[in-house]
Amino acid sequence: MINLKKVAIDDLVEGMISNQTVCNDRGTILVVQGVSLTQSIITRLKNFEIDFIDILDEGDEKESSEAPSGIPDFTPQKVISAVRDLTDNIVDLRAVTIKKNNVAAIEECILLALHKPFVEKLFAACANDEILYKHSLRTTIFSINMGLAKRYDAARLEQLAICALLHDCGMEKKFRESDVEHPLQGFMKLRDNPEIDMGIALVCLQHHEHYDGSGFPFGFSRTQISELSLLLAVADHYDRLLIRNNDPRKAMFKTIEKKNTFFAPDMIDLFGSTIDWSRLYNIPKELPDKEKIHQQK
Amino acid sequence: MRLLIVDDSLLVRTQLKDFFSDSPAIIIEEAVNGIDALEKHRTFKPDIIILDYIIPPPDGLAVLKILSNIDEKVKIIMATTLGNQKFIYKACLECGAVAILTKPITKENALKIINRI
Repeated sequence: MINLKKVAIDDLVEGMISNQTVCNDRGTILVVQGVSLTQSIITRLKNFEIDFIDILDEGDEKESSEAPSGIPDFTPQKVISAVRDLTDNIVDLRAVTIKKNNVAAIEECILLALHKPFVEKLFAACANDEILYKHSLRTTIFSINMGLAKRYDAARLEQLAICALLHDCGMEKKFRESDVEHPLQGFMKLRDNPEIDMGIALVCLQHHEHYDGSGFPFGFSRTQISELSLLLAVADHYDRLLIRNNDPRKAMFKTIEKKNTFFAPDMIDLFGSTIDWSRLYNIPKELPDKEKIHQQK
Repeated sequence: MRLLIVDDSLLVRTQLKDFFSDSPAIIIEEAVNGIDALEKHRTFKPDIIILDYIIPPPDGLAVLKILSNIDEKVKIIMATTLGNQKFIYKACLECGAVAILTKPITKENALKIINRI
Protein backbone atom coordinates (compact mmCIF):
# COMPACT_ATOMS: atom_id res chain seq x y z
CA MET A 1 0.00 0.00 0.00
CA ILE A 2 1.33 3.43 -0.95
CA ASN A 3 0.92 6.35 1.47
CA LEU A 4 1.45 9.74 -0.10
CA LYS A 5 3.57 12.14 1.87
CA LYS A 6 3.06 15.80 1.01
CA VAL A 7 6.17 17.84 1.73
CA ALA A 8 6.47 21.63 1.67
CA ILE A 9 9.05 22.94 -0.79
CA ASP A 10 11.15 24.48 2.01
CA ASP A 11 11.41 21.07 3.71
CA LEU A 12 12.66 19.24 0.62
CA VAL A 13 16.06 17.62 0.89
CA GLU A 14 18.33 16.31 -1.85
CA GLY A 15 17.83 12.61 -2.50
CA MET A 16 14.07 12.56 -1.79
CA ILE A 17 12.12 10.82 -4.52
CA SER A 18 9.28 12.71 -6.18
CA ASN A 19 6.01 10.81 -6.34
CA GLN A 20 4.37 13.12 -8.87
CA THR A 21 5.13 14.88 -12.12
CA VAL A 22 5.02 18.64 -11.62
CA CYS A 23 4.46 21.08 -14.50
CA ASN A 24 4.41 24.87 -14.61
CA ASP A 25 1.48 26.94 -16.01
CA ARG A 26 2.71 26.41 -19.56
CA GLY A 27 2.89 22.64 -19.18
CA THR A 28 6.70 22.48 -19.07
CA ILE A 29 7.78 19.59 -16.87
CA LEU A 30 9.70 20.72 -13.78
CA VAL A 31 10.13 17.32 -12.18
CA VAL A 32 9.12 13.83 -13.26
CA GLN A 33 7.60 11.20 -10.98
CA GLY A 34 10.21 8.79 -9.66
CA VAL A 35 13.13 11.20 -9.96
CA SER A 36 15.56 11.66 -7.10
CA LEU A 37 15.54 15.38 -6.21
CA THR A 38 18.70 17.41 -6.69
CA GLN A 39 19.42 20.94 -5.42
CA SER A 40 18.84 22.36 -8.91
CA ILE A 41 15.42 20.70 -9.15
CA ILE A 42 14.45 22.04 -5.71
CA THR A 43 15.58 25.55 -6.71
CA ARG A 44 13.61 25.26 -9.95
CA LEU A 45 10.47 24.30 -8.01
CA LYS A 46 10.95 27.25 -5.68
CA ASN A 47 11.41 29.61 -8.65
CA PHE A 48 8.08 28.49 -10.06
CA GLU A 49 6.41 28.98 -6.67
CA ILE A 50 5.32 25.40 -6.18
CA ASP A 51 4.17 25.00 -2.55
CA PHE A 52 3.95 21.24 -1.96
CA ILE A 53 5.07 18.08 -3.68
CA ASP A 54 4.25 14.39 -3.14
CA ILE A 55 7.28 12.46 -1.96
CA LEU A 56 7.77 8.71 -1.88
CA ASP A 57 8.03 7.64 1.73
CA GLU A 58 11.23 5.72 2.55
CA GLY A 59 9.21 2.84 3.87
CA ASP A 60 7.17 2.74 0.67
CA GLU A 61 10.32 2.85 -1.42
CA LYS A 62 11.78 -0.17 0.32
CA GLU A 63 8.49 -1.99 -0.01
CA SER A 64 8.13 -1.25 -3.71
CA SER A 65 11.76 -1.96 -4.61
CA GLU A 66 11.61 -5.49 -3.35
CA ALA A 67 10.72 -7.59 -6.35
CA PRO A 68 9.51 -11.15 -5.92
CA SER A 69 12.45 -13.52 -6.18
CA GLY A 70 13.31 -14.72 -9.68
CA ILE A 71 11.54 -11.84 -11.44
CA PRO A 72 13.85 -9.03 -12.58
CA ASP A 73 13.00 -5.63 -11.16
CA PHE A 74 11.90 -3.26 -13.91
CA THR A 75 10.54 -0.49 -11.68
CA PRO A 76 11.38 2.93 -13.16
CA GLN A 77 13.74 3.68 -10.24
CA LYS A 78 15.78 0.52 -10.88
CA VAL A 79 15.90 1.19 -14.62
CA ILE A 80 17.07 4.75 -14.01
CA SER A 81 19.83 3.55 -11.71
CA ALA A 82 20.92 1.15 -14.51
CA VAL A 83 20.77 4.07 -16.98
CA ARG A 84 23.05 6.11 -14.67
CA ASP A 85 25.61 3.30 -14.52
CA LEU A 86 25.52 2.83 -18.28
CA THR A 87 25.81 6.58 -18.92
CA ASP A 88 28.86 6.76 -16.64
CA ASN A 89 30.32 3.79 -18.48
CA ILE A 90 29.69 5.41 -21.87
CA VAL A 91 31.34 8.64 -20.73
CA ASP A 92 34.33 6.74 -19.27
CA LEU A 93 34.72 4.76 -22.49
CA ARG A 94 34.52 8.03 -24.44
CA ALA A 95 31.98 6.31 -26.66
CA VAL A 96 30.01 9.52 -27.14
CA THR A 97 29.93 12.86 -25.38
CA ILE A 98 26.90 13.40 -23.17
CA LYS A 99 26.55 16.91 -21.79
CA LYS A 100 25.58 17.26 -18.12
CA ASN A 101 22.19 18.76 -19.00
CA ASN A 102 21.59 15.95 -21.45
CA VAL A 103 22.14 13.29 -18.76
CA ALA A 104 19.17 14.65 -16.81
CA ALA A 105 17.09 15.04 -19.97
CA ILE A 106 17.82 11.44 -21.01
CA GLU A 107 16.73 10.16 -17.59
CA GLU A 108 13.55 12.23 -17.73
CA CYS A 109 12.66 10.94 -21.20
CA ILE A 110 13.17 7.32 -20.13
CA LEU A 111 11.13 7.85 -16.97
CA LEU A 112 8.29 9.48 -18.90
CA ALA A 113 8.29 6.54 -21.30
CA LEU A 114 8.35 3.96 -18.51
CA HIS A 115 5.49 5.65 -16.68
CA LYS A 116 3.22 4.46 -19.44
CA PRO A 117 2.11 1.06 -18.06
CA PHE A 118 2.12 -0.62 -21.47
CA VAL A 119 5.73 0.45 -22.10
CA GLU A 120 6.91 -0.78 -18.70
CA LYS A 121 5.10 -4.08 -19.21
CA LEU A 122 6.41 -4.64 -22.74
CA PHE A 123 9.94 -3.60 -21.80
CA ALA A 124 9.95 -5.96 -18.82
CA ALA A 125 8.65 -8.78 -21.01
CA CYS A 126 11.21 -8.31 -23.78
CA ALA A 127 14.35 -7.40 -21.84
CA ASN A 128 14.75 -10.37 -19.52
CA ASP A 129 18.14 -11.14 -21.02
CA GLU A 130 20.91 -8.97 -19.51
CA ILE A 131 22.62 -8.25 -22.85
CA LEU A 132 19.31 -7.31 -24.45
CA TYR A 133 18.37 -5.17 -21.43
CA LYS A 134 21.63 -3.22 -21.49
CA HIS A 135 21.61 -3.00 -25.30
CA SER A 136 18.08 -1.51 -25.23
CA LEU A 137 19.06 1.03 -22.58
CA ARG A 138 22.35 2.04 -24.25
CA THR A 139 20.60 2.40 -27.62
CA THR A 140 18.02 4.60 -25.88
CA ILE A 141 20.78 6.76 -24.35
CA PHE A 142 22.55 7.18 -27.72
CA SER A 143 19.25 7.89 -29.52
CA ILE A 144 18.00 10.52 -27.08
CA ASN A 145 21.43 12.13 -27.04
CA MET A 146 21.14 12.44 -30.84
CA GLY A 147 17.52 13.60 -30.54
CA LEU A 148 18.60 16.35 -28.16
CA ALA A 149 21.31 17.42 -30.59
CA LYS A 150 18.62 17.59 -33.28
CA ARG A 151 16.51 19.73 -30.93
CA TYR A 152 13.48 17.47 -30.92
CA ASP A 153 10.64 18.66 -28.68
CA ALA A 154 9.61 16.79 -25.50
CA ALA A 155 6.85 14.75 -27.18
CA ARG A 156 9.16 13.60 -29.98
CA LEU A 157 11.89 12.69 -27.48
CA GLU A 158 9.43 10.65 -25.45
CA GLN A 159 8.30 8.84 -28.60
CA LEU A 160 11.95 8.20 -29.48
CA ALA A 161 12.57 6.80 -25.98
CA ILE A 162 9.64 4.38 -26.32
CA CYS A 163 10.85 3.31 -29.79
CA ALA A 164 14.39 2.70 -28.52
CA LEU A 165 13.31 0.83 -25.38
CA LEU A 166 11.04 -1.48 -27.38
CA HIS A 167 12.93 -1.71 -30.69
CA ASP A 168 14.08 -5.31 -30.06
CA CYS A 169 10.85 -6.53 -28.46
CA GLY A 170 10.52 -9.11 -31.25
CA MET A 171 13.61 -10.96 -30.00
CA GLU A 172 11.74 -13.18 -27.57
CA LYS A 173 13.75 -12.53 -24.42
CA LYS A 174 17.23 -13.32 -25.77
CA PHE A 175 19.67 -11.14 -27.70
CA ARG A 176 20.52 -12.87 -30.97
CA GLU A 177 22.55 -10.82 -33.38
CA SER A 178 21.65 -12.84 -36.46
CA ASP A 179 17.89 -12.81 -35.81
CA VAL A 180 16.38 -11.33 -38.99
CA GLU A 181 12.80 -12.13 -38.01
CA HIS A 182 12.63 -9.87 -34.97
CA PRO A 183 11.69 -6.55 -36.67
CA LEU A 184 8.51 -8.03 -38.18
CA GLN A 185 7.71 -10.03 -35.04
CA GLY A 186 8.19 -6.92 -32.91
CA PHE A 187 6.00 -4.89 -35.26
CA MET A 188 3.20 -7.47 -35.01
CA LYS A 189 3.49 -7.53 -31.22
CA LEU A 190 3.30 -3.74 -30.95
CA ARG A 191 0.57 -3.51 -33.60
CA ASP A 192 -1.61 -5.89 -31.62
CA ASN A 193 -1.50 -3.51 -28.67
CA PRO A 194 -4.07 -0.75 -29.33
CA GLU A 195 -2.29 1.62 -26.92
CA ILE A 196 0.85 1.66 -29.06
CA ASP A 197 1.08 4.39 -31.66
CA MET A 198 1.57 3.04 -35.19
CA GLY A 199 4.59 5.31 -35.65
CA ILE A 200 6.35 3.45 -32.81
CA ALA A 201 5.48 0.05 -34.26
CA LEU A 202 6.80 1.23 -37.62
CA VAL A 203 10.18 2.19 -36.09
CA CYS A 204 10.41 -1.33 -34.63
CA LEU A 205 9.75 -2.74 -38.11
CA GLN A 206 12.24 -0.48 -39.89
CA HIS A 207 15.23 -0.26 -37.55
CA HIS A 208 17.24 -2.71 -39.67
CA GLU A 209 16.31 -1.15 -43.00
CA HIS A 210 19.20 0.55 -44.78
CA TYR A 211 19.24 3.90 -46.53
CA ASP A 212 20.32 2.24 -49.80
CA GLY A 213 17.64 -0.47 -49.61
CA SER A 214 19.98 -3.30 -48.59
CA GLY A 215 18.44 -3.89 -45.15
CA PHE A 216 15.76 -6.23 -43.88
CA PRO A 217 12.92 -7.30 -43.59
CA PHE A 218 11.49 -5.44 -46.65
CA GLY A 219 14.43 -3.66 -48.24
CA PHE A 220 12.90 -0.21 -47.84
CA SER A 221 15.04 2.77 -48.81
CA ARG A 222 15.32 6.53 -48.27
CA THR A 223 11.87 8.17 -47.92
CA GLN A 224 10.21 4.82 -47.27
CA ILE A 225 11.94 4.76 -43.88
CA SER A 226 10.67 7.01 -41.09
CA GLU A 227 13.02 9.61 -39.59
CA LEU A 228 13.07 8.01 -36.14
CA SER A 229 13.96 4.64 -37.71
CA LEU A 230 16.88 6.25 -39.57
CA LEU A 231 18.12 7.77 -36.31
CA LEU A 232 17.62 4.63 -34.23
CA ALA A 233 19.37 2.50 -36.86
CA VAL A 234 22.64 4.39 -36.28
CA ALA A 235 22.45 4.12 -32.48
CA ASP A 236 21.49 0.44 -32.66
CA HIS A 237 24.32 -0.42 -35.09
CA TYR A 238 26.90 1.44 -33.00
CA ASP A 239 25.92 -0.39 -29.83
CA ARG A 240 25.93 -3.76 -31.60
CA LEU A 241 29.53 -3.04 -32.65
CA LEU A 242 30.40 -2.20 -29.03
CA ILE A 243 28.83 -5.48 -27.89
CA ARG A 244 31.05 -7.29 -30.42
CA ASN A 245 34.03 -6.00 -28.42
CA ASN A 246 35.00 -3.31 -30.86
CA ASP A 247 36.64 -0.43 -29.06
CA PRO A 248 34.63 2.81 -29.33
CA ARG A 249 36.99 4.39 -31.86
CA LYS A 250 36.79 1.36 -34.17
CA ALA A 251 33.02 1.14 -33.74
CA MET A 252 32.72 4.84 -34.50
CA PHE A 253 34.61 4.57 -37.78
CA LYS A 254 32.79 1.40 -38.77
CA THR A 255 29.51 3.27 -38.26
CA ILE A 256 30.58 6.47 -39.99
CA GLU A 257 31.92 4.66 -43.06
CA LYS A 258 28.40 3.40 -43.72
CA LYS A 259 27.21 6.94 -44.49
CA ASN A 260 25.03 6.99 -47.64
CA THR A 261 24.94 3.18 -47.77
CA PHE A 262 23.47 1.80 -44.55
CA PHE A 263 22.71 5.14 -42.95
CA ALA A 264 21.24 8.49 -43.99
CA PRO A 265 23.95 11.16 -44.35
CA ASP A 266 22.18 13.64 -42.06
CA MET A 267 21.88 11.00 -39.31
CA ILE A 268 25.59 10.17 -39.52
CA ASP A 269 26.38 13.91 -39.33
CA LEU A 270 24.12 14.11 -36.28
CA PHE A 271 25.86 11.13 -34.70
CA GLY A 272 29.25 12.72 -35.46
CA SER A 273 28.12 15.89 -33.70
CA THR A 274 27.69 13.96 -30.44
CA ILE A 275 31.34 12.91 -30.42
CA ASP A 276 34.14 14.89 -28.85
CA TRP A 277 36.89 13.88 -31.24
CA SER A 278 39.72 15.42 -29.24
CA ARG A 279 38.66 13.41 -26.18
CA LEU A 280 38.33 10.28 -28.26
CA TYR A 281 41.93 10.63 -29.44
CA ASN A 282 43.11 11.66 -25.99
CA ILE A 283 44.32 15.00 -27.31
CA PRO A 284 44.72 17.50 -24.46
CA LYS A 285 42.62 20.62 -25.05
CA GLU A 286 45.56 22.91 -24.25
CA LEU A 287 48.75 21.70 -25.85
CA PRO A 288 51.83 22.19 -23.65
CA ASP A 289 53.75 25.28 -24.77
CA LYS A 290 57.14 24.98 -26.39
CA GLU A 291 59.02 26.36 -23.38
CA LYS A 292 57.75 23.64 -21.06
CA ILE A 293 58.68 20.97 -23.60
CA HIS A 294 62.13 22.52 -23.86
CA GLN A 295 62.52 22.54 -20.07
CA GLN A 296 61.42 18.91 -19.88
CA LYS A 297 64.15 17.98 -22.38
CA MET B 1 -17.90 -4.16 -47.64
CA ARG B 2 -15.36 -1.91 -45.96
CA LEU B 3 -13.27 0.35 -48.19
CA LEU B 4 -10.26 2.39 -47.09
CA ILE B 5 -9.18 5.28 -49.33
CA VAL B 6 -5.56 6.38 -48.81
CA ASP B 7 -4.58 9.64 -50.51
CA ASP B 8 -3.03 12.87 -49.24
CA SER B 9 -5.27 14.90 -51.57
CA LEU B 10 -8.64 15.84 -50.08
CA LEU B 11 -9.98 16.38 -53.60
CA VAL B 12 -9.19 12.82 -54.68
CA ARG B 13 -10.62 11.35 -51.46
CA THR B 14 -13.85 13.33 -51.81
CA GLN B 15 -14.14 12.41 -55.48
CA LEU B 16 -13.68 8.70 -54.73
CA LYS B 17 -16.25 8.86 -51.91
CA ASP B 18 -18.73 10.44 -54.32
CA PHE B 19 -18.23 7.62 -56.81
CA PHE B 20 -19.38 5.09 -54.21
CA SER B 21 -22.12 7.20 -52.60
CA ASP B 22 -24.79 5.28 -54.55
CA SER B 23 -23.68 2.00 -52.97
CA PRO B 24 -24.93 1.84 -49.36
CA ALA B 25 -23.24 -1.52 -48.89
CA ILE B 26 -19.85 0.16 -49.03
CA ILE B 27 -18.59 1.66 -45.75
CA ILE B 28 -15.80 4.12 -46.42
CA GLU B 29 -12.90 5.34 -44.25
CA GLU B 30 -10.07 7.67 -45.21
CA ALA B 31 -6.34 7.93 -44.47
CA VAL B 32 -3.96 10.71 -45.44
CA ASN B 33 -0.48 9.18 -45.17
CA GLY B 34 1.37 5.89 -44.76
CA ILE B 35 1.27 5.71 -40.96
CA ASP B 36 -2.41 6.71 -40.96
CA ALA B 37 -3.09 3.95 -43.51
CA LEU B 38 -1.45 1.35 -41.24
CA GLU B 39 -3.39 2.72 -38.24
CA LYS B 40 -6.74 2.64 -40.09
CA HIS B 41 -5.98 -0.86 -41.34
CA ARG B 42 -5.57 -1.92 -37.69
CA THR B 43 -8.74 -0.25 -36.40
CA PHE B 44 -11.11 -0.18 -39.41
CA LYS B 45 -10.14 -3.63 -40.80
CA PRO B 46 -10.96 -2.90 -44.45
CA ASP B 47 -11.72 -5.52 -47.12
CA ILE B 48 -10.42 -3.32 -49.94
CA ILE B 49 -7.89 -0.48 -49.94
CA ILE B 50 -7.41 2.10 -52.69
CA LEU B 51 -3.86 3.20 -52.02
CA ASP B 52 -2.11 6.13 -53.69
CA TYR B 53 1.47 5.43 -54.79
CA ILE B 54 2.85 8.81 -53.72
CA ILE B 55 1.85 9.67 -50.15
CA PRO B 56 3.78 11.12 -47.19
CA PRO B 57 6.19 8.50 -45.77
CA PRO B 58 6.13 5.61 -45.72
CA ASP B 59 5.06 5.73 -49.38
CA GLY B 60 2.35 3.64 -51.04
CA LEU B 61 4.69 0.87 -52.15
CA ALA B 62 6.06 0.46 -48.60
CA VAL B 63 2.54 0.32 -47.15
CA LEU B 64 1.58 -2.20 -49.84
CA LYS B 65 4.56 -4.42 -48.93
CA ILE B 66 3.75 -4.32 -45.22
CA LEU B 67 0.02 -4.89 -45.53
CA SER B 68 0.21 -7.68 -48.10
CA ASN B 69 2.68 -9.38 -45.77
CA ILE B 70 0.61 -9.18 -42.59
CA ASP B 71 -2.91 -9.47 -44.01
CA GLU B 72 -3.61 -12.05 -46.72
CA LYS B 73 -7.30 -11.18 -46.99
CA VAL B 74 -7.14 -7.47 -47.78
CA LYS B 75 -7.26 -6.55 -51.47
CA ILE B 76 -5.17 -3.53 -52.39
CA ILE B 77 -5.70 -1.40 -55.50
CA MET B 78 -2.83 0.96 -56.25
CA ALA B 79 -3.72 4.40 -57.61
CA THR B 80 -1.05 6.27 -59.50
CA THR B 81 -0.43 8.86 -62.16
CA LEU B 82 2.66 6.84 -63.04
CA GLY B 83 0.66 3.74 -63.96
CA ASN B 84 1.78 3.85 -67.55
CA GLN B 85 5.38 3.24 -66.48
CA LYS B 86 5.94 -0.48 -66.72
CA PHE B 87 8.38 -0.85 -63.82
CA ILE B 88 5.94 0.73 -61.37
CA TYR B 89 3.11 -1.44 -62.63
CA LYS B 90 5.34 -4.50 -62.24
CA ALA B 91 6.59 -3.53 -58.76
CA CYS B 92 3.03 -2.99 -57.49
CA LEU B 93 1.76 -6.31 -58.80
CA GLU B 94 4.83 -8.17 -57.49
CA CYS B 95 4.26 -6.68 -54.04
CA GLY B 96 0.68 -7.92 -53.88
CA ALA B 97 -1.56 -5.29 -55.51
CA VAL B 98 -4.63 -6.82 -57.18
CA ALA B 99 -5.10 -3.97 -59.64
CA ILE B 100 -3.80 -0.56 -60.71
CA LEU B 101 -6.00 2.50 -61.09
CA THR B 102 -4.45 5.14 -63.32
CA LYS B 103 -5.09 8.75 -62.28
CA PRO B 104 -7.16 10.77 -62.99
CA ILE B 105 -9.62 8.14 -61.74
CA THR B 106 -13.00 8.02 -63.48
CA LYS B 107 -16.18 6.72 -61.89
CA GLU B 108 -16.46 4.01 -64.55
CA ASN B 109 -12.94 2.70 -63.91
CA ALA B 110 -13.31 2.77 -60.14
CA LEU B 111 -16.65 0.92 -60.13
CA LYS B 112 -15.43 -1.56 -62.75
CA ILE B 113 -12.39 -2.54 -60.68
CA ILE B 114 -14.29 -2.71 -57.38
CA ASN B 115 -16.98 -4.88 -58.94
CA ARG B 116 -14.37 -7.11 -60.53
CA ILE B 117 -12.66 -7.93 -57.26
